[in-house]
Amino acid sequence: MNPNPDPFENDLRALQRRTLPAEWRDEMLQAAAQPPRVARAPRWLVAGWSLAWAAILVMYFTTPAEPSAPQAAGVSETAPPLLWQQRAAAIEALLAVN
Amino acid sequence: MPAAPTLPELYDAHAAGLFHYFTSFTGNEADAKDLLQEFFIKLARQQIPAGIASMRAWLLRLAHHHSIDWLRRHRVRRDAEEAAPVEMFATHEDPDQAELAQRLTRALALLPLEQRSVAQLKLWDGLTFEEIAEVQGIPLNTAASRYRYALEKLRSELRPLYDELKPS
Repeated sequence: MNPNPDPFENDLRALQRRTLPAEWRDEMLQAAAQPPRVARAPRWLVAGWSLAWAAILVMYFTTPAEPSAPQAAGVSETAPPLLWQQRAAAIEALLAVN
Repeated sequence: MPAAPTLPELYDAHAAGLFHYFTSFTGNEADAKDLLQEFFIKLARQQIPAGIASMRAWLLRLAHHHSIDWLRRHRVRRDAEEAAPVEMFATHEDPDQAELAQRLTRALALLPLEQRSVAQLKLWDGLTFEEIAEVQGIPLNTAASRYRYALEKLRSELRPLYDELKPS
């Protein structure tokens, strides 16, 4: 950009910057060559977590099955109208008393 | 297209320049060394593109972002500007040159960070204003004016010594 830098600029440019200590080279290149550390959960946490899951699975497979689902579903489908009828009857009985 | 350089090749060619650039931000050698170390670790984990026109400018751009991140993390800009200057120049056998180098190190430390880093890139890394603008993400005119201000301040700081040395 500036084809004729002034002599002051040239004199500054002529000063040699210091080089780095030789031992830094190996130190830095070795550190750079290390595989990245993956953040891992502590071993006790992993062991505890695994044990908890194992216990859950054991309980799941050893517990007898619940009563069959269709029956329960049948009850739940018929329950609301029955409840409404009972509730309406109770309200009417109360009104009749009063 | 030439192959991408290896890490040792990059270290041999550019580590000193990068270290001095980091020093202009940190103001102390220990932090600049840590930054250089982190920088090479980061570099080892990324793909270095082949066929870059100016590898120096490319690395310095990464180094600039790395330094800005460091400044944000550490919030020590003021401290860096007030710290004792880090010896930047090689030991000169000529006592006049040695004296000039020592005074220059002190004069550089007095410059604001923006001007100091631009002066370093221009004078000792040999970057053009276009490259400096790209490295620092600033307009070309800003890079040129920061350099001009830096040079004038250095000139006025060093004038007595420089005028004394000049006739020899």
